[in-house]
Formats: sequence, C-alpha cells, structure tokens
Amino acid sequence: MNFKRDILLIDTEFSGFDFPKKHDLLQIAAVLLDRKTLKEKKYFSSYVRPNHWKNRDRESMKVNKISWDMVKDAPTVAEAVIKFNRAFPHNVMQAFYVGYNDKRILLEAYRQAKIKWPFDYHYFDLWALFYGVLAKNNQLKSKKDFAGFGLEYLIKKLKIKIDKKQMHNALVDCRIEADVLRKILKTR
Amino acid sequence: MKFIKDILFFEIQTTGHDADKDSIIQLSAVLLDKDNLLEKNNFNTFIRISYLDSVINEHAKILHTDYETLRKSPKVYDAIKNFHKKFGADLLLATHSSNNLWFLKNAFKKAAVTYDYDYHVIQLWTLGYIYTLNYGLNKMPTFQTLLDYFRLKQKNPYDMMEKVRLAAEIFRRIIREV
Repeated sequence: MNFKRDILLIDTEFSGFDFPKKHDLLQIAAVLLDRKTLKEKKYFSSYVRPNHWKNRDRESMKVNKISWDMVKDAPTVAEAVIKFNRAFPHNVMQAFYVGYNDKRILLEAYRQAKIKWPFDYHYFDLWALFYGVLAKNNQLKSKKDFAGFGLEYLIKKLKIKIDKKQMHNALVDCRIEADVLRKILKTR
Repeated sequence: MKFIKDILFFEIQTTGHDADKDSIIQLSAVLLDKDNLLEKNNFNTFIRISYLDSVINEHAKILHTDYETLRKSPKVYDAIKNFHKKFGADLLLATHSSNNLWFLKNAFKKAAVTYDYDYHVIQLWTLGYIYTLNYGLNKMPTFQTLLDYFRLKQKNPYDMMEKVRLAAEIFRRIIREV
C-alpha cells in the first residue's frame, strides 16, 4: 500500500494535560516515514525546558520518566518548535498514536512560538487503524486493556524487540509505533 | 468479529471550529452493540447556550430549526448530564473527527460533569482514509467522500442524528469489508 504522502509520526511527552497554564511540554519527537516503504527517512527529538516544573503531575511523570537534569538546559518551547518546524517538509500526513492530546499540545506549542500551523488539519490515528484491523480479525483479546488491546500487547504479539526501560521516550515510542504500523499493514 | 465494549458514536453541531471558544449546540449519538454493531440506543438534543434572543436565533439558523424549539432545549449542563447518565462510561467512544472529542470534553468541563471515558477513541476518518487508499482513491477523504464511496445518501446535512447514523454505517461497512 502506498500512502499519498510521507508519514510524519509524532509523539510528545508532557508534565500534565493543562498546558500551557499549569503544565509543560517536555519532549517533542518525530520520525518521517517514506510513503511507499514506510522506512525512516529522518528523525527529530528535542527536550523542552519547562516553566512550571513544580506543578508536574505525578502520574504523567511516572510515565515519561523525565528528570530535571534532562530538561534544565533544553531549548524553550518556542525554540524547540522552530527547530521541529524546520526539520520536516509540511506536505506530510501527520500520525499519532491516540493523538488528540499530543496534537492539541503541539498546536498550543506552535501558538506559543507564534508560528502558523503549517500542516494539514487531518491526522492519522494509528490506534484507530490497529483497532479496526484487530477487530476484523477477532484479535481484540487483551483482558488487561479497556478496548481489547494496547501498544504493549501489540509489541508482544508482533514480536517487536524493545528495551522496556526506554519506552515512553518520545523518539523510542515513535520508532516502536512505526514498527507496529509496518507489521500490521504487512500482516493485515 | 468481536468487540470488547459497546461503541458510542457521536456527532456534534457547533457554533464554530475552535473547541476552546465555540460551543456544541447539537449532540447526537448512537450506541452500537459490541456483538453485532447494531444500534441499541440513541441520544439526540439541541443545546441552548444563551438566554439572549439574538443568540438563540443565530444558533437556530445554524441548526436549521426554529427559535422556539431551541429556546426550549436543555442547557449544556442538563444535556451533558443526560448524555452521560443514559450511556454510562463503560464503552468506547467513536466519532468522525478528533476535533469533536475536544468539543465534547470542553462541554463536560462547562457542565462540571466528570469526563470518565477511556482515552482511546475510534477516529472514523483514519479508518476511512486507509480503506479508500486501499481501493485507490487518490484524495483525502471527507465525510462526503465516504458517503459517496459506500453509496449512502444524506438527506439533511444539518441533522446530526442522521450524520451519526451514517457514520456508524460507514464504520460497519469498513469493518465488514476490509
């Protein structure tokens, strides 16, 4: 299957959902996948210096495992967004894994950087695609996950090798999701 | 096919495109049975967001309804409370576009009702995109593209109840035919 455009798979990590008032964007990462082969053509990853570190949400931080040392000297939101914006062409299909929080936070980060959102407003939700394929094949079987599957279930099922300690680093997650996408589209 | 949870498709009519500034003025939903994807329940309401006649009139025009009908419609608090009470939260939300989700979340916030749905949401656009791509359709599919593709007719584009039923039908066809 050939996509119409290269796919820009994006992931973010944040210190809570109330960005920019109370919480911070802490990392932006993305991999650009070739529209025909889905091979990685380019990547980007940047931590972001927080403004409200003391407000960080305990649950979010447990997931992202980002420490103060990792972000204290990082670029500001505006600087990171400028770099991200320059890193990739804009005629791509953005993709996220359950992306509405990432997309919203990224849109707000663009607003903070005073850069007009340059991408198409559509985005591809990998979770929805995986859900459709698994439902069709009667494979929504994980009892641990609310909807019958989760990313960790897929990683195990598709035998994707990962370093568990690195999971939830945004760039690592992008690459894992890209791997799952390749395998799902191949085995569908 | 077997789903783990019932699926609640919802569609909205809004006063604009910005989920932070604009409001939902119609909320429609159909609950699909997890075993067969058939409709087992539904919900449909206009939402009055102001007492001002001029605003009610303006929103009635967007909805293609009359002033009196909208004036008698519930406020956001009652609409959201009823929506939540009718279906509970042990289900999977589904909608055509993810922007709808932000409107719904903000409406829950305005109504001071806890949004306790699972964070996974079926985005129909993604499924439609991959499905039409597979069949060689060379453009970004809109809702109308999907209707045309599946030869479904929309009688009234302003009726969100009709739209949500069509969205559910598109979902059924994609899942069955993929």
